[in-house]
Amino acid sequence: MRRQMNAPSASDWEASALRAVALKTVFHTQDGTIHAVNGVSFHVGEGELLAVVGESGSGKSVAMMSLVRLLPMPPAAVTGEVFFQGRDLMTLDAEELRRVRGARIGFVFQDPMTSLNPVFTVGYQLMEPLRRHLGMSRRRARERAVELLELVGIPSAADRLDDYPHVFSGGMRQRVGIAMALACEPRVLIADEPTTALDVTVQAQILELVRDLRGRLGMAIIWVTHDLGVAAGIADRIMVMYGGQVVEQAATADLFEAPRHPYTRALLDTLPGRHVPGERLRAIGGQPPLMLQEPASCPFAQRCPQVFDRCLAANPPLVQAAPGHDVACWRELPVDKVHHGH
Amino acid sequence: MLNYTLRRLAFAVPTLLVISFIIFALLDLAPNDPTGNLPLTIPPEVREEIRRSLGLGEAFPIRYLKWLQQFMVNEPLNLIERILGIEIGNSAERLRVRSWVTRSPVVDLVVERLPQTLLVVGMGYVAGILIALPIGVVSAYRQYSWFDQIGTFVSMVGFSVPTFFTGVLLIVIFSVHLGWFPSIYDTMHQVTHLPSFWVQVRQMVLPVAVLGLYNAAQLSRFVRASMLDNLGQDYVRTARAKGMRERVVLFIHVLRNSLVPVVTVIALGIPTVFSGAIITEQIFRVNGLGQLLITAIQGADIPLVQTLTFIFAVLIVFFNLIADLLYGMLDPRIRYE
Repeated sequence: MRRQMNAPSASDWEASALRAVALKTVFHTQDGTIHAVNGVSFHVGEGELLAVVGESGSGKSVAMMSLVRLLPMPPAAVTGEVFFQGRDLMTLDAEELRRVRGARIGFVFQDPMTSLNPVFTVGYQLMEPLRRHLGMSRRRARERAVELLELVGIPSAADRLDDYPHVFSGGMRQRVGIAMALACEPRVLIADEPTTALDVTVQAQILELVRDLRGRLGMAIIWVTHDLGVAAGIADRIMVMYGGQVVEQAATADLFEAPRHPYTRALLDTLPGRHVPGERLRAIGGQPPLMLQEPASCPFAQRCPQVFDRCLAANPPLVQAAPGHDVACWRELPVDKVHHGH
Repeated sequence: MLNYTLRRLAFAVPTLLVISFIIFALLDLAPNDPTGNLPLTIPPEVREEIRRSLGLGEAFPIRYLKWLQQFMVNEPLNLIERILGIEIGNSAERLRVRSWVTRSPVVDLVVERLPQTLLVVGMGYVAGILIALPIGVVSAYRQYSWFDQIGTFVSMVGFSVPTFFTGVLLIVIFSVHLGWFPSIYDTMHQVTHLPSFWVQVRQMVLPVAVLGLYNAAQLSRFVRASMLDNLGQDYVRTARAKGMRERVVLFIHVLRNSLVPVVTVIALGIPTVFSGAIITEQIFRVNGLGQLLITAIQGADIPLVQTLTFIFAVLIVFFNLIADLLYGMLDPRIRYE
């Protein structure tokens, strides 16, 4: 069993808006079990923007959806603890959890083209959480919906309320998605690759909007992305995931200046900005692991340029390598420094 | 929308003209003789006289145009006169499409038979829809549960076992052995008071059940597939992420989307209500349109067959248009401009 040893200071934990401990998600499918998330622990501070970075299949989205059990429950099985506003979300029943979702934890999803219901007006979909969680009257909810659309920068908001999603552009739809997530002023906003489906100029606008909203509303944001460039531009802290576990986490500047995990370094090397013009773009060789069982060795070992026998023998724990900088790599972890528990 | 409707209606005219020509020509090409069933003692001159009196002396194009005029102009005028109780022009002189067998106007026969068919077959259709919707929704929501498995099995059986088997089976069980319901539908029965209303209900139960089960088997599969399509969509996750109750997610977000194709299929199926469940009407002796068509075909009553077939064609074209318009109304992404 893999132990978490990132042992953040007590003040860190008290200040966290949301904290997950040993989160595990297993999918029981007809073709076998998939261990999508393997003991992930992390926290996001009040008002902090945490970027979760990793390639497709690293478990980053599943981990975030697992926080509020927003996965099809069978086949998924989620264990662990999720502390939010003094409660463990894992102990809540379905109805209590629904009162948290959308009210105190907001979600923005990847594809704005499909994540809005095509047969209801934007206004109706915006008013739904307002009426459900805040018990607003239809009139009050409508007024608030107009405010929300204005907040996310949709021009002539009052007129757009009765429009259907398909008449909006992708960027505008994502703004609607953000407005919906922010409707009840959540303490935590989880954004699952919200700019991935958008083209680059629109992506920049959305990033600007989120920076602005964060300044105004002060909620904590968990921003899931596979784009390190996006993460660098927006995040206070970056958490790198690989094979369903956290391999490194550090403040943004720290991570870019002194990456410690070979996977993080490989990711950084793939960024086009780090290349000499004319040189071929670099890629990480090999494939991400199939997670058919719980990892018994380092999940990155197969693709790691610095692999040695210990990597194949045991899964490295996440330990503090420097203040505020945790890494899960045997290279960073002399034998004598291993100590258990937190 | 109005513009589109008018354009579609205008398009329907040439379509129907082509259909009417094909129907008329095909049946005219078929070997037939209105005097064929008359006694052999009638001399050939008299037979020829009879044929001429039925308009068969004319050339094919003339007969087609006359039939068209009778069907498109004269009969609608007659219907309007009858409904409004007024007289437009010289109605007694107006030529009508007449049955070769009964010599009565074809449209009168249709008007006589229509209520039985609409009542029995229509109720069967409505019952089918009412059974199919909840079964389809629950089957999709609890996919691969025992409810879904049983529903799938029953649908497969209902879909693959023909109505002439289920009809007779139900008669054997409920009429012969249990004696709960009559096996023959009495068309002459008049509903005047409560007991006679119950008699009507009882005689409708078996045919409606047969048709309802058959329709439900098909439609519930369709509802289930449509629901499953939508349950996996991203907007469902969005609704859950907003903290909506499962009831709201299922019955408002998912069902509303799933109904778009379902309503279209239901609208497209309505003409089959009129063309009647021919076999079921035969089994339960319902004197409906289906039975009228069968007897007309067996008796080589060409004008009746032509007219009935063409009426069905008109209904199919019309409900295709209705289905398209409904689609546009239910799905805001589709706009007819």
